[in-house]
Amino acid sequence: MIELTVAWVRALPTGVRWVSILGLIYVLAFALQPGSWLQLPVTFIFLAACPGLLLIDWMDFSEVVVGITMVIASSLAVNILVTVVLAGTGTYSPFTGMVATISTTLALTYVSYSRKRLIDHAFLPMRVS
Amino acid sequence: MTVDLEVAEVTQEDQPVKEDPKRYLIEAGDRTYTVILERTEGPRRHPTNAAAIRRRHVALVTLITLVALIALPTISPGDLGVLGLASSLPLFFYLALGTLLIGFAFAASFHADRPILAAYVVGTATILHGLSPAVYEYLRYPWAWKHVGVVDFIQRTGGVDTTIESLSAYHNWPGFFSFNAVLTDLGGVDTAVWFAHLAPIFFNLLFLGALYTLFHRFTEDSRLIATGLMFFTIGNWVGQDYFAPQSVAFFFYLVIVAILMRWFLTGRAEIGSVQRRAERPLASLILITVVAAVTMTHQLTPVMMIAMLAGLTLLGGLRAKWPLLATLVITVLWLVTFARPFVAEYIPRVIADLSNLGGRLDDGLIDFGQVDTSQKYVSMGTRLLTASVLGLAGLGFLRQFRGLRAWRQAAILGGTPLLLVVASSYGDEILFRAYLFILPMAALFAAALWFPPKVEPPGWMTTGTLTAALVSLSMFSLVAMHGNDIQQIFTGDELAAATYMYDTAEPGSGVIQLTNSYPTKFKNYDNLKELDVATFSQAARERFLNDPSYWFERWITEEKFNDGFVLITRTQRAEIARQGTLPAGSVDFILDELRSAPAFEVLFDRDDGILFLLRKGSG
Repeated sequence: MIELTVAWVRALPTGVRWVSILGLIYVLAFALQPGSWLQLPVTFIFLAACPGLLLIDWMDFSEVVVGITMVIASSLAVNILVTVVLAGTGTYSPFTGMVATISTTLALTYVSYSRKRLIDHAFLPMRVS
Repeated sequence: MTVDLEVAEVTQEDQPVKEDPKRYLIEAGDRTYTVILERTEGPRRHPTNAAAIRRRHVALVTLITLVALIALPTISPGDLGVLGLASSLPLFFYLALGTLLIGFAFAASFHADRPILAAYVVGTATILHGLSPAVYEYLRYPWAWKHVGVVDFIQRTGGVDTTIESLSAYHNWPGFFSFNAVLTDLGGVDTAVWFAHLAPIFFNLLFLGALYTLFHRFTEDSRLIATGLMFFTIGNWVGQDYFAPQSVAFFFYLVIVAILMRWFLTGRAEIGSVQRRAERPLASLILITVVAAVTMTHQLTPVMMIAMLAGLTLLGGLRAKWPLLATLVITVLWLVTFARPFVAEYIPRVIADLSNLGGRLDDGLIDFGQVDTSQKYVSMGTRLLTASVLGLAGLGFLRQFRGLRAWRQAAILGGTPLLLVVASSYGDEILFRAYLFILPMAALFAAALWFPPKVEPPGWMTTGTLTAALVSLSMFSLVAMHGNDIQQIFTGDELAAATYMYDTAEPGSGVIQLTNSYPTKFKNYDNLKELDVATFSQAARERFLNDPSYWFERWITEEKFNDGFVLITRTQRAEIARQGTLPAGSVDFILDELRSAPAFEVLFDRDDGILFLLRKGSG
């Protein structure tokens, strides 16, 4: 069972793995101990990193600094677009904010995972031959 | 430092030679040998030694940075000297900063190792831009408090009001505020003040990341890149890195430039590979997302983006036209839809301002005849710093521009911000904004003076002159960044007085203040309208000083405020003294008049903040 889990986790794209870890920490910090001092930094890291992390598998960032910069820029940009829609339509609330940002990240996770599976599938015959 | 040694000569001697450090005595059996050791041309940097050197440098920088910031005492406005915070910092802070700058100059001259250079740049940025949160108890800058207030508005009302009278630009470009509303709510804190004071460190580190990505496009030389980053960190004094929309918009601007230069430049200047071309579709998606985010965040930065894109498209070899067209379309769409209320109201003012270039330039510089001595020193410091950075950049460009890859694009990026000064209606801030957008390329050109591309590693002369330049510029930078802090930082009394007012004011109330320098509009801000005495004409201020309580009462009555407050704080007093807005002794006179006026009631009275309320039925 553990081996299967490890194999499944290893098969995930790097960005999805990181987002899963950060998301788990985020849920723990937010749901299990609301109001703890960890909640603010963990929320910040989640918002400023997760959507962009899902893009790093798609590009070749030989420089770590370049990769981190692109991750933060795209994360902030995606979250700004989502929250402007909420504030602009007058539907912002803590609940809608949370649902919107987490849904966006989950949607990007699905896209990233699907892309990885597509690539793996496309290259499988080459590996066998 | 490790030196590779080998045995050059072995001789048998009767007497040991202790005074020569190169000679060692070795006993073997019944014989004693003198071993003479000489330096050889062995491998200069053994991998293990390089890693050890790197670890030592990084540990040293981390230790110095942390100790310097943690050991700093809390500084109150009363502790500030003639040059503001710069004349109040303890000696060990300057020693720490000096050590980092000397260490950087040495490392850049003799160890072109990226992690080592990066450590010094990050350490210096943290020490310089982390000063405010390290020494001040409360958030610096009145404007930062206003931005907290807009976040509070979104949290309370669930949206923005594009037709609101006060701070309407923020409601028409709400990206920064809506994001921070989510962060505040999900982060489990009641106000954005909790994290707003860390913004300068955060944004400056982001700027460095984006600039590294950009500079890497012009040169592979890590010394040149790192020195450019160092000049940017030291030269970034204009205060556009605090909790504000323009900070995140500037970061996005740098990222957009970096994406264009990395993935979209074609022709002779292209350094792309098959991989890079394959990444273009995703880079395009990120580019469009970031452009859209900028358009929703700040009103000025899209103008800069369009100017930069036009320059690169027309003159800089950017063959893809769609980034310029897409940016134009997104910006215009935003202006004619979401931001239409703001645009309709302000277009006439923009057109009027465009014809007044001379007036804008004059407004941006203070009048030395009107301000006090301290303000004069600070202004001279900022002008010297700005002129030095731009002067070094000019020299560097003239001497070394052909050594840079894509130098034409670099010149376009450095030159287009000048259009801002000619074609904008941004009042007196425009010179600072233009400088900020010029600074990235100016920093790289200035660095090229010391580390010309494609030239052999430099020696001690480079170390010495670079140290002198960095140390002297950083001293000016401290004066420029923190010289006016007496007008920009607050005490607990001031915050308590303002909090009391915003907590108790009914909707439709108003406050008359001498200036807007205090923790202002940070909560329930839409309940209160503000009137600033400092913005009145000279004649109106003179009339006001003849009978202050009468005029306060009259203004409050004419404006039909529900509750009419008068708030006078320490920072307002300091700003008036510095700027010469009112004659000396005026504030004490106004306070005496208000205390003795029967129409006014003292609601809150502490040393640094006094709040009056016009009694109901008066006026």
